[in-house]
Amino acid sequence: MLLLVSAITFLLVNLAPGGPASLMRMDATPEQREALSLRLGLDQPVPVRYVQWLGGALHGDLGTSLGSNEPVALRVVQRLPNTLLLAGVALALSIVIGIPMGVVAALRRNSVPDFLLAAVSILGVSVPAFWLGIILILALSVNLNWLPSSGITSTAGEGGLVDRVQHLIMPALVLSTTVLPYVVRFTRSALLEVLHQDYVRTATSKGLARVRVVFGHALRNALVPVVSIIGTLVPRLVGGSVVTESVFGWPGMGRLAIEAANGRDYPLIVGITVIVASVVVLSSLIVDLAYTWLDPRIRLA
Amino acid sequence: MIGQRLLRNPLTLASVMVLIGIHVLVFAGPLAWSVSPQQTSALNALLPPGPGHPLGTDDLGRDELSRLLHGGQVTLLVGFAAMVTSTFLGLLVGATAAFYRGWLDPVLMRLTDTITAPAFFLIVTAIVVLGSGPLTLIAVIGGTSWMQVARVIYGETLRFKAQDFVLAAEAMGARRGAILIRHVLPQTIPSVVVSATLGIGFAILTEAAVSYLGLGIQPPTPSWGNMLQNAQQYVWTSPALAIFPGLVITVVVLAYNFLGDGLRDAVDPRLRI
Repeated sequence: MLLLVSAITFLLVNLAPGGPASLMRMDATPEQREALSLRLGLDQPVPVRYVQWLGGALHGDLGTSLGSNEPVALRVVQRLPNTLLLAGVALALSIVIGIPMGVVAALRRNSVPDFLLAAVSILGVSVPAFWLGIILILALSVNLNWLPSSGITSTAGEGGLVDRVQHLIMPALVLSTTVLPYVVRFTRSALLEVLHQDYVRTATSKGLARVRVVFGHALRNALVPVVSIIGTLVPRLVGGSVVTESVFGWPGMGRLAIEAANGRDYPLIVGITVIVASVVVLSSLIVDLAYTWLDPRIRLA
Repeated sequence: MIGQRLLRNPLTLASVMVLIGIHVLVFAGPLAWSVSPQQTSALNALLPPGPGHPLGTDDLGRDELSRLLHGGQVTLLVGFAAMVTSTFLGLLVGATAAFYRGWLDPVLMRLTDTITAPAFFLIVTAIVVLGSGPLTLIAVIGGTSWMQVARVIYGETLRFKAQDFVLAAEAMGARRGAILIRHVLPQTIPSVVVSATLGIGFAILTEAAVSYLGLGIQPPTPSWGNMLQNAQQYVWTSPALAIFPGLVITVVVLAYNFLGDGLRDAVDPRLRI
Protein backbone atom coordinates (compact mmCIF):
# COMPACT_ATOMS: atom_id res chain seq x y z
CA MET A 1 0.00 0.00 0.00
CA LEU A 2 2.81 2.39 0.84
CA LEU A 3 4.45 1.31 -2.39
CA LEU A 4 1.30 2.32 -4.25
CA VAL A 5 1.16 5.73 -2.54
CA SER A 6 4.78 6.46 -3.33
CA ALA A 7 4.38 5.30 -6.92
CA ILE A 8 1.26 7.42 -7.47
CA THR A 9 2.86 10.52 -5.96
CA PHE A 10 6.16 10.02 -7.72
CA LEU A 11 4.61 9.44 -11.13
CA LEU A 12 2.19 12.33 -10.68
CA VAL A 13 5.03 14.68 -9.89
CA ASN A 14 7.41 13.45 -12.56
CA LEU A 15 5.14 12.87 -15.52
CA ALA A 16 3.08 16.05 -15.33
CA PRO A 17 3.89 18.88 -17.73
CA GLY A 18 4.69 21.24 -14.86
CA GLY A 19 7.13 18.74 -13.37
CA PRO A 20 10.65 19.28 -12.08
CA ALA A 21 12.04 20.08 -15.52
CA SER A 22 10.03 23.30 -15.60
CA LEU A 23 11.88 24.47 -12.51
CA MET A 24 14.69 25.85 -14.60
CA ARG A 25 14.45 29.53 -15.17
CA MET A 26 13.97 30.80 -18.66
CA ASP A 27 17.27 32.63 -18.76
CA ALA A 28 19.31 29.56 -17.85
CA THR A 29 21.94 28.68 -20.41
CA PRO A 30 21.79 25.23 -22.04
CA GLU A 31 24.87 24.23 -20.00
CA GLN A 32 23.19 25.21 -16.75
CA ARG A 33 20.10 23.24 -17.69
CA GLU A 34 22.26 20.26 -18.48
CA ALA A 35 24.04 20.53 -15.14
CA LEU A 36 20.82 20.82 -13.17
CA SER A 37 19.21 17.87 -14.95
CA LEU A 38 22.30 15.85 -14.26
CA ARG A 39 22.27 16.82 -10.59
CA LEU A 40 18.58 15.94 -10.20
CA GLY A 41 19.02 12.81 -12.29
CA LEU A 42 16.46 14.03 -14.81
CA ASP A 43 18.44 12.48 -17.66
CA GLN A 44 17.26 9.05 -16.49
CA PRO A 45 13.85 7.67 -17.49
CA VAL A 46 11.11 7.98 -14.85
CA PRO A 47 10.85 4.29 -13.85
CA VAL A 48 14.61 4.16 -13.27
CA ARG A 49 14.40 7.31 -11.15
CA TYR A 50 11.54 5.80 -9.16
CA VAL A 51 13.47 2.62 -8.41
CA GLN A 52 16.52 4.66 -7.38
CA TRP A 53 14.38 6.87 -5.18
CA LEU A 54 12.67 3.83 -3.65
CA GLY A 55 16.03 2.21 -2.95
CA GLY A 56 17.12 5.37 -1.12
CA ALA A 57 13.79 5.67 0.70
CA LEU A 58 14.16 2.18 2.15
CA HIS A 59 17.39 3.36 3.75
CA GLY A 60 15.79 6.53 5.07
CA ASP A 61 17.09 8.73 2.25
CA LEU A 62 14.21 10.63 0.67
CA GLY A 63 16.35 12.86 -1.50
CA THR A 64 17.40 16.48 -1.07
CA SER A 65 15.06 19.41 -0.68
CA LEU A 66 15.38 21.83 -3.60
CA GLY A 67 14.56 24.80 -1.41
CA SER A 68 17.09 24.42 1.37
CA ASN A 69 19.48 21.74 0.07
CA GLU A 70 18.90 19.81 3.28
CA PRO A 71 17.89 16.13 3.19
CA VAL A 72 14.13 15.76 2.89
CA ALA A 73 14.08 13.22 5.71
CA LEU A 74 15.75 15.72 8.05
CA ARG A 75 13.28 18.51 7.30
CA VAL A 76 10.33 16.19 7.78
CA VAL A 77 11.69 14.75 11.02
CA GLN A 78 12.13 18.27 12.38
CA ARG A 79 8.45 19.00 11.79
CA LEU A 80 6.83 15.63 12.44
CA PRO A 81 6.81 15.80 16.28
CA ASN A 82 4.90 19.09 16.20
CA THR A 83 2.19 17.63 14.01
CA LEU A 84 2.02 14.44 16.06
CA LEU A 85 1.64 16.53 19.22
CA LEU A 86 -1.12 18.63 17.71
CA ALA A 87 -2.96 15.70 16.15
CA GLY A 88 -2.54 13.55 19.25
CA VAL A 89 -3.95 16.21 21.56
CA ALA A 90 -6.79 16.88 19.13
CA LEU A 91 -7.64 13.18 18.91
CA ALA A 92 -7.45 12.81 22.69
CA LEU A 93 -9.73 15.83 23.08
CA SER A 94 -12.31 14.46 20.68
CA ILE A 95 -12.30 11.08 22.43
CA VAL A 96 -12.51 12.56 25.91
CA ILE A 97 -15.28 14.96 24.91
CA GLY A 98 -16.92 12.88 22.18
CA ILE A 99 -17.54 9.59 23.95
CA PRO A 100 -19.35 11.12 26.95
CA MET A 101 -21.38 13.26 24.53
CA GLY A 102 -22.32 10.16 22.56
CA VAL A 103 -23.25 8.31 25.76
CA VAL A 104 -25.49 11.16 26.89
CA ALA A 105 -27.13 11.31 23.45
CA ALA A 106 -27.79 7.57 23.46
CA LEU A 107 -29.14 7.41 27.01
CA ARG A 108 -31.35 10.46 26.58
CA ARG A 109 -32.42 9.42 23.12
CA ASN A 110 -34.76 11.85 21.32
CA SER A 111 -34.56 14.31 24.19
CA VAL A 112 -33.51 17.94 23.99
CA PRO A 113 -29.82 17.18 24.76
CA ASP A 114 -29.83 14.52 22.05
CA PHE A 115 -31.14 16.91 19.42
CA LEU A 116 -28.77 19.63 20.58
CA LEU A 117 -25.79 17.29 20.30
CA ALA A 118 -26.96 16.14 16.86
CA ALA A 119 -27.25 19.76 15.76
CA VAL A 120 -23.82 20.63 17.15
CA SER A 121 -22.18 17.65 15.48
CA ILE A 122 -23.71 18.34 12.07
CA LEU A 123 -22.61 21.94 12.51
CA GLY A 124 -19.14 20.62 13.31
CA VAL A 125 -18.82 18.82 9.98
CA SER A 126 -20.19 21.82 8.10
CA VAL A 127 -17.95 24.58 9.42
CA PRO A 128 -14.73 25.09 7.45
CA ALA A 129 -12.01 24.36 10.03
CA PHE A 130 -9.86 27.27 8.92
CA TRP A 131 -12.75 29.68 9.29
CA LEU A 132 -13.49 28.39 12.79
CA GLY A 133 -9.82 29.05 13.51
CA ILE A 134 -10.06 32.63 12.24
CA ILE A 135 -13.21 33.23 14.27
CA LEU A 136 -11.56 31.84 17.41
CA ILE A 137 -8.56 34.09 16.84
CA LEU A 138 -10.96 36.99 16.40
CA ALA A 139 -12.80 36.17 19.62
CA LEU A 140 -10.07 34.91 21.94
CA SER A 141 -6.97 36.71 20.71
CA VAL A 142 -8.19 39.95 19.18
CA ASN A 143 -11.15 40.81 21.38
CA LEU A 144 -10.41 39.09 24.67
CA ASN A 145 -6.64 38.79 24.36
CA TRP A 146 -6.71 35.47 26.25
CA LEU A 147 -4.67 33.27 23.96
CA PRO A 148 -1.82 33.80 21.49
CA SER A 149 -2.98 33.79 17.87
CA SER A 150 -0.16 31.80 16.31
CA GLY A 151 3.07 29.91 16.69
CA ILE A 152 4.12 27.13 18.99
CA THR A 153 5.81 29.29 21.68
CA SER A 154 6.13 33.01 22.22
CA THR A 155 9.30 34.43 20.71
CA ALA A 156 9.85 36.51 23.82
CA GLY A 157 9.28 33.77 26.38
CA GLU A 158 11.56 30.80 26.67
CA GLY A 159 8.58 28.52 26.04
CA GLY A 160 7.67 27.23 29.47
CA LEU A 161 4.96 24.61 29.82
CA VAL A 162 2.18 27.15 30.39
CA ASP A 163 3.21 29.07 27.30
CA ARG A 164 3.25 25.93 25.19
CA VAL A 165 -0.16 24.82 26.44
CA GLN A 166 -1.59 28.25 25.71
CA HIS A 167 -0.35 28.02 22.14
CA LEU A 168 -1.74 24.53 21.80
CA ILE A 169 -5.31 25.16 22.96
CA MET A 170 -6.85 26.82 19.91
CA PRO A 171 -5.23 24.71 17.17
CA ALA A 172 -6.03 21.49 19.03
CA LEU A 173 -9.62 22.60 19.57
CA VAL A 174 -10.06 23.49 15.89
CA LEU A 175 -8.45 20.28 14.68
CA SER A 176 -10.57 18.18 17.04
CA THR A 177 -13.79 19.60 15.54
CA THR A 178 -12.91 17.88 12.27
CA VAL A 179 -13.29 14.46 13.94
CA LEU A 180 -15.40 15.09 17.05
CA PRO A 181 -18.80 14.81 15.29
CA TYR A 182 -17.95 11.34 14.02
CA VAL A 183 -16.91 10.16 17.48
CA VAL A 184 -20.19 11.43 18.95
CA ARG A 185 -22.37 9.91 16.24
CA PHE A 186 -20.66 6.54 16.32
CA THR A 187 -20.63 6.29 20.10
CA ARG A 188 -24.33 7.09 20.12
CA SER A 189 -25.36 4.57 17.49
CA ALA A 190 -23.02 1.85 18.80
CA LEU A 191 -24.30 2.25 22.36
CA LEU A 192 -27.93 2.28 21.19
CA GLU A 193 -27.37 -0.96 19.34
CA VAL A 194 -25.78 -2.63 22.36
CA LEU A 195 -28.44 -1.39 24.77
CA HIS A 196 -31.05 -3.38 22.83
CA GLN A 197 -29.25 -6.66 23.28
CA ASP A 198 -30.27 -9.50 25.53
CA TYR A 199 -27.37 -9.46 27.94
CA VAL A 200 -28.05 -5.83 28.75
CA ARG A 201 -31.66 -6.71 29.51
CA THR A 202 -30.39 -9.58 31.67
CA ALA A 203 -28.08 -7.26 33.56
CA THR A 204 -30.91 -4.80 34.13
CA SER A 205 -33.36 -7.47 35.20
CA LYS A 206 -31.01 -8.97 37.73
CA GLY A 207 -31.19 -5.64 39.48
CA LEU A 208 -27.92 -3.96 38.61
CA ALA A 209 -27.84 -0.19 38.89
CA ARG A 210 -28.31 1.61 35.59
CA VAL A 211 -24.84 3.09 35.92
CA ARG A 212 -23.23 -0.34 36.19
CA VAL A 213 -25.26 -1.70 33.31
CA VAL A 214 -24.27 1.13 31.03
CA PHE A 215 -20.64 1.53 31.99
CA GLY A 216 -19.81 -2.02 33.05
CA HIS A 217 -21.62 -3.98 30.38
CA ALA A 218 -22.86 -1.92 27.47
CA LEU A 219 -20.18 0.71 26.94
CA ARG A 220 -17.30 -1.73 26.84
CA ASN A 221 -18.86 -3.52 23.91
CA ALA A 222 -20.03 -0.35 22.26
CA LEU A 223 -16.47 0.97 22.28
CA VAL A 224 -15.26 -1.71 19.88
CA PRO A 225 -16.84 -0.15 16.78
CA VAL A 226 -15.90 3.28 18.11
CA VAL A 227 -12.23 2.27 18.20
CA SER A 228 -12.47 1.07 14.62
CA ILE A 229 -13.94 4.39 13.50
CA ILE A 230 -11.07 6.22 15.22
CA GLY A 231 -8.75 4.43 12.80
CA THR A 232 -10.63 5.85 9.84
CA LEU A 233 -10.52 9.32 11.38
CA VAL A 234 -6.74 9.54 11.31
CA PRO A 235 -6.54 10.49 7.60
CA ARG A 236 -9.13 13.19 8.25
CA LEU A 237 -7.12 14.45 11.20
CA VAL A 238 -3.96 14.53 9.14
CA GLY A 239 -5.69 16.36 6.28
CA GLY A 240 -7.21 18.83 8.74
CA SER A 241 -3.76 19.52 10.16
CA VAL A 242 -2.68 21.16 6.88
CA VAL A 243 -5.32 23.85 7.19
CA THR A 244 -5.13 24.18 10.97
CA GLU A 245 -1.36 24.58 10.96
CA SER A 246 -1.62 27.25 8.28
CA VAL A 247 -4.19 29.25 10.22
CA PHE A 248 -2.24 29.16 13.46
CA GLY A 249 1.27 29.30 12.06
CA TRP A 250 2.00 25.94 13.65
CA PRO A 251 5.38 24.65 12.43
CA GLY A 252 4.31 21.13 11.48
CA MET A 253 4.14 18.85 8.46
CA GLY A 254 1.02 20.50 7.07
CA ARG A 255 2.66 23.89 6.81
CA LEU A 256 5.80 22.30 5.47
CA ALA A 257 3.67 20.79 2.69
CA ILE A 258 2.25 24.21 1.83
CA GLU A 259 5.72 25.77 1.90
CA ALA A 260 6.96 22.98 -0.35
CA ALA A 261 3.98 23.48 -2.64
CA ASN A 262 4.54 27.21 -2.96
CA GLY A 263 8.28 26.72 -3.49
CA ARG A 264 7.69 23.87 -5.99
CA ASP A 265 10.01 21.74 -3.91
CA TYR A 266 9.17 18.39 -5.54
CA PRO A 267 11.40 15.99 -3.59
CA LEU A 268 10.11 17.51 -0.35
CA ILE A 269 6.44 17.18 -1.28
CA VAL A 270 6.83 13.57 -2.41
CA GLY A 271 8.65 12.79 0.83
CA ILE A 272 5.98 14.43 2.96
CA THR A 273 3.14 12.60 1.22
CA VAL A 274 4.84 9.25 1.62
CA ILE A 275 5.64 9.86 5.29
CA VAL A 276 2.10 11.02 6.01
CA ALA A 277 0.78 7.86 4.37
CA SER A 278 3.16 5.77 6.52
CA VAL A 279 1.92 7.46 9.68
CA VAL A 280 -1.67 6.77 8.66
CA VAL A 281 -0.94 3.13 7.89
CA LEU A 282 0.95 2.74 11.17
CA SER A 283 -1.92 4.23 13.14
CA SER A 284 -4.46 1.94 11.53
CA LEU A 285 -2.22 -0.96 12.55
CA ILE A 286 -2.25 0.29 16.14
CA VAL A 287 -6.04 0.58 15.97
CA ASP A 288 -6.28 -3.00 14.75
CA LEU A 289 -4.18 -4.12 17.70
CA ALA A 290 -6.33 -2.16 20.15
CA TYR A 291 -9.35 -3.73 18.50
CA THR A 292 -8.28 -7.30 19.26
CA TRP A 293 -7.35 -6.26 22.78
CA LEU A 294 -10.82 -4.81 23.39
CA ASP A 295 -12.69 -7.69 21.83
CA PRO A 296 -10.90 -11.04 22.18
CA ARG A 297 -13.50 -12.72 19.93
CA ILE A 298 -11.90 -11.06 16.91
CA ARG A 299 -8.70 -12.98 17.44
CA LEU A 300 -10.56 -16.20 16.72
CA ALA A 301 -11.80 -14.97 13.37
CA MET B 1 -44.01 9.09 -1.53
CA ILE B 2 -40.33 9.73 -0.87
CA GLY B 3 -40.87 13.39 -1.71
CA GLN B 4 -43.72 13.62 0.79
CA ARG B 5 -41.70 11.95 3.51
CA LEU B 6 -38.80 14.24 2.68
CA LEU B 7 -40.69 17.49 2.96
CA ARG B 8 -42.51 16.46 6.12
CA ASN B 9 -39.19 16.82 7.94
CA PRO B 10 -39.02 20.51 8.87
CA LEU B 11 -35.22 20.61 8.85
CA THR B 12 -35.06 19.18 5.35
CA LEU B 13 -37.73 21.58 4.14
CA ALA B 14 -35.84 24.51 5.65
CA SER B 15 -32.59 23.30 4.04
CA VAL B 16 -34.20 23.06 0.62
CA MET B 17 -35.55 26.58 0.96
CA VAL B 18 -32.22 27.96 2.17
CA LEU B 19 -30.39 26.27 -0.72
CA ILE B 20 -32.84 27.57 -3.31
CA GLY B 21 -32.57 31.03 -1.77
CA ILE B 22 -28.78 31.07 -1.81
CA HIS B 23 -28.51 29.73 -5.36
CA VAL B 24 -30.99 32.33 -6.62
CA LEU B 25 -29.11 35.09 -4.79
CA VAL B 26 -25.72 33.99 -6.07
CA PHE B 27 -26.70 33.41 -9.69
CA ALA B 28 -29.36 36.11 -10.14
CA GLY B 29 -28.13 38.55 -7.49
CA PRO B 30 -25.42 40.17 -9.63
CA LEU B 31 -28.21 41.31 -12.00
CA ALA B 32 -29.65 43.42 -9.21
CA TRP B 33 -26.36 44.34 -7.50
CA SER B 34 -24.31 45.31 -10.52
CA VAL B 35 -21.18 46.62 -8.76
CA SER B 36 -18.11 44.93 -10.30
CA PRO B 37 -16.29 42.46 -8.05
CA GLN B 38 -12.99 43.59 -9.60
CA GLN B 39 -13.41 47.36 -9.26
CA THR B 40 -10.60 48.44 -6.94
CA SER B 41 -10.48 51.75 -5.16
CA ALA B 42 -7.62 52.72 -2.88
CA LEU B 43 -9.69 55.42 -1.22
CA ASN B 44 -12.42 53.02 -0.22
CA ALA B 45 -10.26 50.19 1.09
CA LEU B 46 -11.34 48.26 4.19
CA LEU B 47 -14.57 50.18 4.73
CA PRO B 48 -16.87 48.72 7.38
CA PRO B 49 -20.36 47.65 6.26
CA GLY B 50 -22.40 50.74 5.46
CA PRO B 51 -24.46 52.47 2.77
CA GLY B 52 -23.00 52.00 -0.72
CA HIS B 53 -21.18 48.85 0.42
CA PRO B 54 -23.64 46.76 2.48
CA LEU B 55 -20.90 44.34 3.55
CA GLY B 56 -18.01 46.79 3.40
CA THR B 57 -14.95 46.60 1.14
CA ASP B 58 -11.79 44.52 1.15
CA ASP B 59 -8.13 45.56 1.27
CA LEU B 60 -8.21 46.74 -2.34
CA GLY B 61 -11.49 48.62 -1.95
CA ARG B 62 -13.51 46.00 -3.81
CA ASP B 63 -17.15 45.62 -2.87
CA GLU B 64 -17.50 42.67 -0.51
CA LEU B 65 -21.12 41.89 -1.39
CA SER B 66 -20.36 41.74 -5.09
CA ARG B 67 -17.35 39.49 -4.46
CA LEU B 68 -19.46 37.27 -2.25
CA LEU B 69 -22.06 36.84 -5.02
CA HIS B 70 -19.53 36.24 -7.82
CA GLY B 71 -17.33 34.11 -5.56
CA GLY B 72 -20.39 32.04 -4.73
CA GLN B 73 -20.89 31.23 -8.40
CA VAL B 74 -17.33 29.91 -8.61
CA THR B 75 -17.49 27.97 -5.35
CA LEU B 76 -20.90 26.42 -5.99
CA LEU B 77 -20.05 25.46 -9.57
CA VAL B 78 -16.70 23.93 -8.60
CA GLY B 79 -18.36 22.11 -5.70
CA PHE B 80 -21.13 20.73 -7.89
CA ALA B 81 -18.83 19.68 -10.73
CA ALA B 82 -16.36 18.06 -8.33
CA MET B 83 -19.24 16.14 -6.77
CA VAL B 84 -20.38 14.90 -10.20
CA THR B 85 -16.81 13.78 -10.95
CA SER B 86 -16.35 12.00 -7.63
CA THR B 87 -19.77 10.34 -7.81
CA PHE B 88 -19.04 9.06 -11.29
CA LEU B 89 -15.61 7.74 -10.31
CA GLY B 90 -16.95 6.21 -7.10
CA LEU B 91 -19.76 4.50 -8.97
CA LEU B 92 -17.37 3.17 -11.56
CA VAL B 93 -14.85 1.82 -9.06
CA GLY B 94 -17.33 0.51 -6.49
CA ALA B 95 -19.66 -1.20 -8.96
CA THR B 96 -16.85 -2.70 -11.03
CA ALA B 97 -15.04 -4.09 -8.00
CA ALA B 98 -18.16 -5.59 -6.47
CA PHE B 99 -19.80 -6.89 -9.65
CA TYR B 100 -16.84 -8.43 -11.43
CA ARG B 101 -14.84 -9.47 -8.33
CA GLY B 102 -11.81 -11.52 -9.44
CA TRP B 103 -8.54 -9.62 -9.43
CA LEU B 104 -10.33 -6.29 -9.97
CA ASP B 105 -11.87 -6.35 -6.50
CA PRO B 106 -8.72 -6.35 -4.36
CA VAL B 107 -6.87 -4.03 -6.74
CA LEU B 108 -9.61 -1.40 -6.88
CA MET B 109 -10.51 -1.49 -3.20
CA ARG B 110 -6.84 -1.36 -2.23
CA LEU B 111 -6.49 1.69 -4.45
CA THR B 112 -9.48 3.19 -2.65
CA ASP B 113 -7.82 2.71 0.74
CA THR B 114 -4.51 3.99 -0.56
CA ILE B 115 -5.88 7.26 -1.85
CA THR B 116 -7.83 7.81 1.36
CA ALA B 117 -4.71 7.82 3.52
CA PRO B 118 -2.98 11.01 2.37
CA ALA B 119 -5.92 12.48 0.39
CA PHE B 120 -5.41 16.12 1.30
CA PHE B 121 -1.66 15.92 0.67
CA LEU B 122 -2.36 14.37 -2.72
CA ILE B 123 -4.63 17.31 -3.52
CA VAL B 124 -1.85 19.73 -2.63
CA THR B 125 0.70 17.78 -4.68
CA ALA B 126 -1.59 17.44 -7.69
CA ILE B 127 -2.46 21.13 -7.73
CA VAL B 128 1.18 22.16 -7.51
CA VAL B 129 2.02 19.95 -10.45
CA LEU B 130 -1.06 20.47 -12.60
CA GLY B 131 -1.72 24.14 -11.92
CA SER B 132 -4.80 25.63 -10.34
CA GLY B 133 -7.40 26.54 -12.96
CA PRO B 134 -11.04 25.85 -12.06
CA LEU B 135 -11.14 22.77 -14.31
CA THR B 136 -7.99 21.30 -12.76
CA LEU B 137 -9.41 22.03 -9.33
CA ILE B 138 -12.62 20.16 -10.19
CA ALA B 139 -10.66 17.19 -11.51
CA VAL B 140 -8.33 17.12 -8.51
CA ILE B 141 -11.04 17.44 -5.86
CA GLY B 142 -13.26 14.97 -7.70
CA GLY B 143 -10.33 12.62 -8.22
CA THR B 144 -9.47 12.51 -4.51
CA SER B 145 -12.92 12.34 -2.93
CA TRP B 146 -14.67 9.43 -4.63
CA MET B 147 -13.61 6.81 -2.09
CA GLN B 148 -16.64 7.16 0.19
CA VAL B 149 -19.04 6.74 -2.73
CA ALA B 150 -17.04 3.77 -3.99
CA ARG B 151 -17.32 2.00 -0.62
CA VAL B 152 -21.07 2.63 -0.39
CA ILE B 153 -21.70 1.43 -3.95
CA TYR B 154 -19.41 -1.54 -3.39
CA GLY B 155 -21.54 -2.70 -0.48
CA GLU B 156 -24.82 -2.02 -2.28
CA THR B 157 -23.75 -3.82 -5.45
CA LEU B 158 -22.63 -6.86 -3.47
CA ARG B 159 -25.98 -6.87 -1.70
CA PHE B 160 -28.14 -6.58 -4.80
CA LYS B 161 -26.21 -8.88 -7.07
CA ALA B 162 -26.89 -11.75 -4.68
CA GLN B 163 -30.64 -11.31 -5.06
CA ASP B 164 -33.10 -13.36 -7.04
CA PHE B 165 -33.88 -10.85 -9.76
CA VAL B 166 -30.23 -10.97 -10.82
CA LEU B 167 -30.40 -14.75 -10.96
CA ALA B 168 -33.60 -14.45 -13.01
CA ALA B 169 -31.97 -12.07 -15.45
CA GLU B 170 -29.01 -14.41 -15.76
CA ALA B 171 -31.34 -17.33 -16.39
CA MET B 172 -32.97 -15.35 -19.17
CA GLY B 173 -29.59 -15.00 -20.79
CA ALA B 174 -28.88 -11.33 -20.13
CA ARG B 175 -25.29 -10.29 -20.57
CA ARG B 176 -23.24 -9.45 -17.46
CA GLY B 177 -22.80 -5.81 -18.39
CA ALA B 178 -26.51 -5.44 -19.07
CA ILE B 179 -27.37 -7.00 -15.70
CA LEU B 180 -25.10 -4.51 -13.95
CA ILE B 181 -26.42 -1.48 -15.77
CA ARG B 182 -30.11 -2.32 -16.11
CA HIS B 183 -30.78 -4.31 -12.96
CA VAL B 184 -28.20 -3.70 -10.25
CA LEU B 185 -27.19 -0.06 -10.66
CA PRO B 186 -30.76 1.34 -10.61
CA GLN B 187 -31.17 -0.22 -7.16
CA THR B 188 -28.26 1.83 -5.88
CA ILE B 189 -29.69 5.18 -7.04
CA PRO B 190 -31.04 6.16 -3.58
CA SER B 191 -27.62 5.64 -1.97
CA VAL B 192 -25.94 7.49 -4.82
CA VAL B 193 -28.26 10.47 -4.38
CA VAL B 194 -27.58 10.58 -0.65
CA SER B 195 -23.81 10.32 -1.13
CA ALA B 196 -23.89 12.94 -3.86
CA THR B 197 -25.79 15.40 -1.68
CA LEU B 198 -23.37 14.95 1.19
CA GLY B 199 -20.53 15.06 -1.37
CA ILE B 200 -21.41 18.58 -2.55
CA GLY B 201 -20.89 19.85 0.98
CA PHE B 202 -17.57 18.07 1.21
CA ALA B 203 -16.43 19.38 -2.18
CA ILE B 204 -17.36 22.95 -1.25
CA LEU B 205 -15.40 22.65 1.99
CA THR B 206 -12.40 21.24 0.14
CA GLU B 207 -12.45 23.98 -2.48
CA ALA B 208 -12.67 26.58 0.27
CA ALA B 209 -9.75 25.05 2.19
CA VAL B 210 -7.56 24.72 -0.89
CA SER B 211 -8.31 28.26 -2.05
CA TYR B 212 -7.74 29.58 1.45
CA LEU B 213 -4.28 28.03 1.34
CA GLY B 214 -3.64 29.95 -1.88
CA LEU B 215 -3.57 26.84 -4.05
CA GLY B 216 -7.09 26.95 -5.45
CA ILE B 217 -8.99 29.61 -7.35
CA GLN B 218 -6.49 32.39 -8.01
CA PRO B 219 -7.23 36.07 -7.37
CA PRO B 220 -8.55 38.33 -8.80
CA THR B 221 -11.31 35.77 -9.47
CA PRO B 222 -13.17 35.61 -6.18
CA SER B 223 -14.21 32.40 -4.47
CA TRP B 224 -15.50 31.97 -0.95
CA GLY B 225 -12.26 30.26 0.01
CA ASN B 226 -9.79 32.77 -1.38
CA MET B 227 -11.78 35.68 0.04
CA LEU B 228 -10.81 34.32 3.45
CA GLN B 229 -7.15 34.11 2.48
CA ASN B 230 -6.67 37.86 2.78
CA ALA B 231 -9.25 38.28 5.48
CA GLN B 232 -7.02 36.73 8.11
CA GLN B 233 -4.45 39.51 7.70
CA TYR B 234 -7.08 42.13 8.40
CA VAL B 235 -8.95 40.28 11.10
CA TRP B 236 -7.68 42.83 13.65
CA THR B 237 -9.12 45.81 11.83
CA SER B 238 -11.88 44.51 9.54
CA PRO B 239 -13.44 41.42 11.11
CA ALA B 240 -16.42 41.66 8.72
CA LEU B 241 -14.22 40.43 5.85
CA ALA B 242 -13.51 37.19 7.72
CA ILE B 243 -17.04 36.61 8.94
CA PHE B 244 -19.28 36.76 5.85
CA PRO B 245 -17.60 34.29 3.43
CA GLY B 246 -17.18 31.71 6.19
CA LEU B 247 -20.76 32.16 7.27
CA VAL B 248 -22.19 31.48 3.81
CA ILE B 249 -19.94 28.43 3.38
CA THR B 250 -21.17 27.08 6.72
CA VAL B 251 -24.82 27.74 5.90
CA VAL B 252 -24.63 26.13 2.45
CA VAL B 253 -22.71 23.05 3.64
CA LEU B 254 -25.00 22.72 6.65
CA ALA B 255 -28.05 22.82 4.38
CA TYR B 256 -26.59 20.19 2.04
CA ASN B 257 -25.76 17.97 5.03
CA PHE B 258 -29.28 18.30 6.48
CA LEU B 259 -30.72 17.60 3.05
CA GLY B 260 -28.52 14.54 2.67
CA ASP B 261 -29.52 13.22 6.10
CA GLY B 262 -33.16 13.93 5.33
CA LEU B 263 -32.88 12.11 2.01
CA ARG B 264 -31.35 9.12 3.73
CA ASP B 265 -34.18 8.97 6.24
CA ALA B 266 -36.79 9.36 3.50
CA VAL B 267 -35.22 6.73 1.25
CA ASP B 268 -34.72 4.19 4.00
CA PRO B 269 -36.58 4.94 7.24
CA ARG B 270 -35.13 1.82 8.83
CA LEU B 271 -31.72 3.48 8.97
CA ARG B 272 -33.09 6.08 11.35
CA ILE B 273 -31.90 5.20 14.82
